[in-house]
Amino acid sequence: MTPEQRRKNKRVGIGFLVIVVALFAWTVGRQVMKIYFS
Amino acid sequence: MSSVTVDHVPGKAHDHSHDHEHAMPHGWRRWLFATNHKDIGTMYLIFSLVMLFEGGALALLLRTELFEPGLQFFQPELFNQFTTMHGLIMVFGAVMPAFVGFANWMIPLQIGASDMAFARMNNFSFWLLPVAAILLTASFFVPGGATAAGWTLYAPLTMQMGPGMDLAIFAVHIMGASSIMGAINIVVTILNMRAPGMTLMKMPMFCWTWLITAYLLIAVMPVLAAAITMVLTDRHFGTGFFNAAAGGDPVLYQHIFWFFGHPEVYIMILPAFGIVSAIVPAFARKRLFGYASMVYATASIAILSFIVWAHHMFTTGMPVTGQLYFMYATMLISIPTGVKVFNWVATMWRGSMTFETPMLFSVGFIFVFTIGGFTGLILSMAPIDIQVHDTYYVVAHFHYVLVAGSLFALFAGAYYWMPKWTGRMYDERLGKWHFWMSMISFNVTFFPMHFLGLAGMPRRYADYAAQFADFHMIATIGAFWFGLSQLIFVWVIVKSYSGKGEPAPAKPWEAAEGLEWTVPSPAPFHTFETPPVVK
Repeated sequence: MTPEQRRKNKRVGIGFLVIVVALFAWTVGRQVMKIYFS
Repeated sequence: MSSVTVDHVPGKAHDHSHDHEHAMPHGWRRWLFATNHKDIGTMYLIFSLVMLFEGGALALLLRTELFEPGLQFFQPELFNQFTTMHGLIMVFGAVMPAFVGFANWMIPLQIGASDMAFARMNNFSFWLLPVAAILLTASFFVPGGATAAGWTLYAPLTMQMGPGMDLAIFAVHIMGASSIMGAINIVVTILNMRAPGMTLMKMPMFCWTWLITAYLLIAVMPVLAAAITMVLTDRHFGTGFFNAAAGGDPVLYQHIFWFFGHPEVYIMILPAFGIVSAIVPAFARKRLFGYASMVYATASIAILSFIVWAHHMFTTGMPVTGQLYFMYATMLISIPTGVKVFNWVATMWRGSMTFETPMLFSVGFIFVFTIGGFTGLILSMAPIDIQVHDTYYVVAHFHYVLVAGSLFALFAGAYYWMPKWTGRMYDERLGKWHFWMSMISFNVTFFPMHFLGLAGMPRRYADYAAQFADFHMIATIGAFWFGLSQLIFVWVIVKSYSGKGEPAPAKPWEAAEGLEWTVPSPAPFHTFETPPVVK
């Protein structure tokens, strides 16, 4: 694996990690809004 | 798959193990600190086999209690714990890790990559699993025992459980984290590390199905993690998300769970489609019929899986318009699934077929999975589903899909690629015994459950009315027969790994296609360090 490929992998991997964290936060956040603020 | 011809295979220049002895750790370090995709794949496969037997043992305990009406061996509380743990272990411990094991072993070999994109994360993904398995299994021994809320972990049952529930939540969190990391690894490997010339539409179907499955995992595992985190905060930190008395809504949990749960069903079956799509052409000696339509059908199934979740909840009291929407949307899934079954049959049509064990399991898969698909279509109809909701009809349906579907495809794939993994041919006679014993006993176990369900036998009950006795007795006999049949598989593996079979050539199946057959058997520790050029 070339260093360039390693960097590219890391970039795409972190992108997906952000999606995962956002989905988790969105699911909990949505329920908080629904149960406590509606 | 489109025809793949390899210009040269530089990986072959590195076939001799002495070239890389320095890079291959020995002893326990090889496994604990493993970063090699083949070693990690092997560990995943062994782990999932162990969990298959643990989950299977729990199933046999259930069937033992159900052999006759009345309570003979276990109180209902313990029976419910067995039911829950059987489901959790089979879904998160056996089926999912087994497919990840296949992905680890085969995806880099099939796309011409030297390893997975994140080798150390791959190690972490695997080693989380035994920790989760220990947590789950240990939960039987805490006060109150293991969780008995069912594998769906519905509120408000989850509010009523002892500390075993918390252990299960942590275990599912850990297994979820492992799955997410595994999925990111697979997506990045496939997107970034394909050999030159290996375009997406030249990839083997197994890689395609796993790519789509990995996207599903990334999209739904965080939702499950969020749901069980809220269960945890409801239990211990004073929130009331799913507690009606505190202003929450237990049905909300069901919506969140099934938003994960339905795609999860496809997470457990799409890679199976990929395995069967590799095997059927190899043993029919024809190209896969409709490669592009297979790719689009897989993607369609994945997209539809996000918009049908409430068909698991027809009895929760949703408006008729909601029922109609979820009913019709669910029926739509039969179209891409039908495309797949049609394509497999069309691949076999007028092919020069032979029926070695991988093909037997694949044809068995198509036949029996289709029965599970049809009962799924029947269950998609709200008026019928309301009648048979939570009955053995549902149990029969999802075991036809998960056992005869996922598990049979896993067996097919194991026999197909075992020569590549071990360097030895498996024992064909034992393989055929394994298939026929499994196929017959599976149907003896689960076919009568359709009748039980239609007659009104509820699922997750330790006792039942005398009218159900005969079918339950048959199912229990079949279950023990099926369980014992799996010992043949262990015997086949042990024989093959202990070097007792005939040495396997690089390509043991004459019509098999793909880069994995261009490297020797067993696959060397390092392959494709210089990527092959695919034309």
